[in-house]
Amino acid sequence: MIEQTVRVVNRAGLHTRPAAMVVKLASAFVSDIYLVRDGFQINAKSIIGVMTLAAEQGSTLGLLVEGPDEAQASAALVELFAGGFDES
Amino acid sequence: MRLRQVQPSLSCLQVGSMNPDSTSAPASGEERVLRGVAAAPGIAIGRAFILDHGSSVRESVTVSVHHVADEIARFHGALEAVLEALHRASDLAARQSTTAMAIIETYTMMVRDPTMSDSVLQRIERGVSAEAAVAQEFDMHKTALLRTQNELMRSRVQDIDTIKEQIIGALRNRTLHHAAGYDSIVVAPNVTPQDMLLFQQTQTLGYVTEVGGINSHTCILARDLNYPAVVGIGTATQLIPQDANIIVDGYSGTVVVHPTPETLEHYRQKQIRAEEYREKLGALVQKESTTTDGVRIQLLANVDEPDHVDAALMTGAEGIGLVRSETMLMHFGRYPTEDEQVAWYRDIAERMYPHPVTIRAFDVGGDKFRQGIPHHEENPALGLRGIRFLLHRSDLFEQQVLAILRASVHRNIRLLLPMISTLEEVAAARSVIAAAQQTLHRRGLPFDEQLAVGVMIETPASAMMADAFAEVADFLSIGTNDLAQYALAADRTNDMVADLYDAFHPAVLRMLVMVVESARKFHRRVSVCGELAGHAAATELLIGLGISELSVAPRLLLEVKQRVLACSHAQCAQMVRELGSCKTTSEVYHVLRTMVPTS
Repeated sequence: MIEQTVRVVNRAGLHTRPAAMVVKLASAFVSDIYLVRDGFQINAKSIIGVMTLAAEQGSTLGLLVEGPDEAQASAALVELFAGGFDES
Repeated sequence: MRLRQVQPSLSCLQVGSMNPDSTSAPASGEERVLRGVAAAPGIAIGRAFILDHGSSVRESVTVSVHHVADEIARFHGALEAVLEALHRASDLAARQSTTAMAIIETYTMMVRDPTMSDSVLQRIERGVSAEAAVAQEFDMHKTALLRTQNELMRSRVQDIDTIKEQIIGALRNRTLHHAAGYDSIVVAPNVTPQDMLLFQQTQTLGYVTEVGGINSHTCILARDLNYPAVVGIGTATQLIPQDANIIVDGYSGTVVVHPTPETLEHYRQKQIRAEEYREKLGALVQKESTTTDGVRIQLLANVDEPDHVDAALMTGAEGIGLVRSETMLMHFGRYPTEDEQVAWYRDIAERMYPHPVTIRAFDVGGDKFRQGIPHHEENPALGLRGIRFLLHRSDLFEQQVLAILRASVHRNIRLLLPMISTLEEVAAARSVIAAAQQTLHRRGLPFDEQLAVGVMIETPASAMMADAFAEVADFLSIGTNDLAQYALAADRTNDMVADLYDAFHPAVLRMLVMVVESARKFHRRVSVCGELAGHAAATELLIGLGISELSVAPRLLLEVKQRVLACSHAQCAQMVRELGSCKTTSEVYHVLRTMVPTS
């Protein structure tokens, strides 16, 4: 299992479009992927879950990935968060 | 753009099987006869399917262990249905907006959300109904979202609500599709026309409702769609157990619950006789409709859309007496463009050629579909409807007139103006028509220069002033439904006063006499296209009054023709003279009963 921390850097936070991007990317992997905020853990493949995290700009989330492709999945998601979801 | 609602019209209905109260009565038992009002003729024998009002989803609704598998299947089915609707919406959106595409994509992901469906399934397995499980699941997320301070995040609550409503809507829809099988009779507090159109797809056999005057649009539609129906059985959803065998006798207005084998046989015979009667009528198609003393009565059909013209032709209709053009608004879900209207009108006119087709301009407002009227009225029946709306929105009216004129190239179209109450309205409509003719001249498009323009007589004012209207109109058409409603000040869809509404009231009959005499004075054709024209005892009455054009629903046309062939104009006229001294509706009925042989 890979455990990491990601930061929401884009201004609007994890609203609908970024949430959809997270879910789409997470769903492309076989591994179980979770996001954790304030002890609240949600499935990163669940759009409703990611939306209800309501992660604003500057919030820090735990990223838990476990499965055969955990390395790739973890790296891809870290990159997505770091890139600010392509928002200018 | 707005996403199409998966199932908006059924949102007010809750499936009876979810409500333990309404199923407390046993599914078998003593034969019972319930009396209501005969709303649409015919005999239906089938299984009761109880629909109950559900204001909102009942969170505590539970299901027994036996039904868990059904509930799971319903839930999966509902998800499929919502996905299908989203898929259709995305096809539309693809051509219009990338923002809309993104929203639809998010919605699709929400419906496919694996955590959501796992959680709902767990709730169902614990004995919660599918609707309640979905509601609980989505409400939980909603609560979580509402806790955040961020406005942008909080606004996502709308998405959660949208998807929740769509899934629950689809659940109800699917319940109906599965449970209201081909042998079921819908028993409900009330059924809207939209619901009925939906049930039509499930091949429902008939209807029993608690409320509903016999002239409500629901009943008119039941008659049009050929569904036996009985209305006005106050507590029908409690008196009739779910899945009970019931018989609906739409001739006498009775419902038999748990019929004995003898009763069942009796009604089966009645059903067969009714069928034979219909076949016998088939032989009348080719016959000319003339009274025994040689008076020609033209029988036309009320047909609202091109696809129904065939039904009119099959019954030998000599024209279309009424095209309710507002049907197009329902069909398109908006005001159709000029070209769309031309295609619609021309299709009807060409299929009926050389027979005449009377197109009534959009009659919106009142208890009809209010699409396109962007304001609220305290009293819509007395409000902005018919010609008033058309003159208020003269842009829409002129567009429609342009389309009707363009479709009139075969010279078999007539235009009818609805809800006229003043001469000024006719003059104003005439100038809109003249302007449209000028426009077509400029465009160099052909049309019927002599297009006949008729006035609908359906307000007491127009009936009293019928001679003035006969002078300026090319023909008159009496709308008996509204005329009786306005003359008697009784809303035909309001149960509390529906018994006051009766087109056979002497006040209405006197108005009919005035209209016919005025029309005769100016040598104008006068037709009757309301429900009265299709009413069994009314054929003789209308013939006696001197009306020579009756327009009825296609399925009633041959029945009316049979009555025409059997009656003598002289005798009918004599009857009408006797009716002249009637002071009450019951006196009118008495005269009708003694003069008219019952069929």
